[in-house]
Amino acid sequence: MDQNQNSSLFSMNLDAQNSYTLRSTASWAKVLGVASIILAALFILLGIMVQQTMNNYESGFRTYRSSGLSASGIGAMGLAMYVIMGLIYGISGVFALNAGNKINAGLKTNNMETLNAGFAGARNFFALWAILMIISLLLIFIVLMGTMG
Amino acid sequence: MENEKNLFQIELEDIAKSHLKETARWARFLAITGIVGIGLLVVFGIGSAVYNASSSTTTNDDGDTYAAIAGGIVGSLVVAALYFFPCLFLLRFSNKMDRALLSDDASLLSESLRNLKITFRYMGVLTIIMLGFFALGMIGALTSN
Repeated sequence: MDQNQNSSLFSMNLDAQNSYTLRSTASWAKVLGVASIILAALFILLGIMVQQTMNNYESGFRTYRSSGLSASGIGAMGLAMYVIMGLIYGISGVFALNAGNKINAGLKTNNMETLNAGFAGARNFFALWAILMIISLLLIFIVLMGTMG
Repeated sequence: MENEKNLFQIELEDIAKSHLKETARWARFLAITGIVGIGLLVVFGIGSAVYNASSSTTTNDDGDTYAAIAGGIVGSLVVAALYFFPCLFLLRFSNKMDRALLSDDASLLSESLRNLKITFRYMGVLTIIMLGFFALGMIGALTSN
């Protein structure tokens, strides 16, 4: 009796219902992962397109050289911005896909190590977005302080 | 009977619980900052629209200004509504997961996982829609050149 109580206190089981919910969660994580990776590729492609378009306007921008801006410079900035966006979406997509695949595999094979790796992938996914949120908040704060000061 | 039950049960190890706990923590942080961000977006969106409206009445601008102001308010409200629901589901996931891990309650764990599933589904569908708009924009840009 005591042993039963102790085991229920310190263990948690994934029953059939929880396994089913976790499996469908993993499937949607995979969908999100694949969509994010495709979006990342499109962002990088768009960055390259923006850079090439701006390079084509190089002659038209010569008059603005005095302001320190050149078409190729703007194009390079655009490329860098889109590549950063692409990297963010790409990495988060890989984390989501990894979490989805490993949770599914862990549940199918009853392998705890794979399931743990899947949970770690989900943690990495949310941690990445949370860290990006912290960085964005810091940047907003710095900009606000700059405009006020 | 007990064996049959065990066939459908996987016992969560401490390491799995620790990963779930950390996931819930990051998710709560994201949800709370997201909800605060949405609040700020709505306040600044409506505030700037009201400010523009008050300045445009003094300069007697035409109806286009009001349309732009209304568009600004509606736009910020739509974005806020779109991002509010994943934040809400994420917050529910993290709260229920914390409680489930503290009390070893399987039904709370199930509810928590359901909210995580809804969050992933919502974000997945939103990303696919974004992908569609992105692809359309790129096709439009390519064909116009």
